[in-house]
Amino acid sequence: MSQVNTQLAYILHKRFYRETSQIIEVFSRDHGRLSLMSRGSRGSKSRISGHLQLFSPLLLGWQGKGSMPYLRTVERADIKPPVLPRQSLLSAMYINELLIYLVHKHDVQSGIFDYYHQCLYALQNSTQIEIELRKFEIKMLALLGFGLQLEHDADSGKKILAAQNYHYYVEHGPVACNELKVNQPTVGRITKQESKPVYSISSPFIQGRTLLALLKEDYALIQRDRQQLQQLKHLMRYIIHTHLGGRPLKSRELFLTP
Amino acid sequence: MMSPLLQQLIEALKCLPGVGPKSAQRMAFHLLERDRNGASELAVALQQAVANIGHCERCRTLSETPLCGICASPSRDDSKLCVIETPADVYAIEHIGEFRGRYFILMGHLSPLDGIGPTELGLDKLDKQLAAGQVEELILATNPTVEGEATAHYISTMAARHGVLATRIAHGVPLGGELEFIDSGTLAHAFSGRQRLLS
Repeated sequence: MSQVNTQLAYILHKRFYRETSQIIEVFSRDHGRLSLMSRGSRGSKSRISGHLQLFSPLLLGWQGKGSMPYLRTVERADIKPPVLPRQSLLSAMYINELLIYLVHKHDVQSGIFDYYHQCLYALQNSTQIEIELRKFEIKMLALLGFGLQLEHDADSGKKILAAQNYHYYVEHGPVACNELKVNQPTVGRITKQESKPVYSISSPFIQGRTLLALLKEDYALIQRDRQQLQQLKHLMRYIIHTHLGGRPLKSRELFLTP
Repeated sequence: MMSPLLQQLIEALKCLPGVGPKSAQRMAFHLLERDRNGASELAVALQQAVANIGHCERCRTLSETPLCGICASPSRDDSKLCVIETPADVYAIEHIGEFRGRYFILMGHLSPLDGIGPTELGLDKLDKQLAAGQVEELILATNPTVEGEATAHYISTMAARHGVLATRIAHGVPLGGELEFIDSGTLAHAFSGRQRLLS
């Protein structure tokens, strides 16, 4: 019987189970992502239902063998929880969706956990939402082993030039292009791993200076330029789309303005 | 070996929440051995309910008429619309007896991980009602959970597009509660939402 005490963790998702129980998806610092069964934690009589909220740092204890241990203890962690303004909540939900689909269960990812923790605090400032999301996506992918290639042109091997435009290909890298063919189809280019080269989003192009700013982790520079921010967003959307195997993200619908 | 019909009944009963194979078997035996009348009444009631009950065209609650009782009532105030998560919330609010406006029931909250987005909550219908221009105040009474807040925010941006005032129900210390035993999140909310005492 394995037992874990006071583990710093966030709840990513909750689903109701039977009358008063719920299954919670947890992202913990030292044990990775896992599902816990929380018995009797719903309803007005439960003392812990107020604690079991998303985006709040908790100290959890659990016990049990198998794939779904039982939640034993819940405490608020002794740090001030992030107070997310309403505008940031949908973005934070998007991050949770990314984590659930991209981080495998029981894969200990303390680095990603720390970035998640930082990102939630950064989202308290609703003017920073967009750049913070990009920062988290890039760092998370890097820690998962899908980091971006930012130094060299993947075809010629030359250094990235600030004034040059590039096409970015997943698992290949940036390739210099002279004409801006925004809607150039990706078919044929990404051949190795893509047996079904059907994409709704085409391989995006990006300016050299954006790549160089990313290399230096100078996010403030990108944030100042609307166009760069937009290009980076399309690039990350394309890369994440590929790593998700084309699975659509439901939280994206929340950002479509009808 | 169980007869095929009995097996089929047990399988069917397993669709109920919290009912596993053992409970389903117990229910099946009880219905067939001890309460055949009850069983046929249940069968008829189920069949009628499934065939006739749909969603109210206006507020989305469960109703066998195109418009539910509240939506059909002419004495209701059309200028106030209250958005809630479940039909059970209607009864809770009706019980206070204060609110005379109309309702809109989401049947859940935004939860991307469960595949519930704006279309699943019928927000396109709500959008049309807001566009019609009768509603002056949209009261957002989703649950005070993170998901409920996110849903409220999403709907408030819709209301802003149509120039409709969106309000959110207050939350804080319950009546008869003691500050000592209240969780810090609730207390923080109660503090930030404090009101001036008029004397």
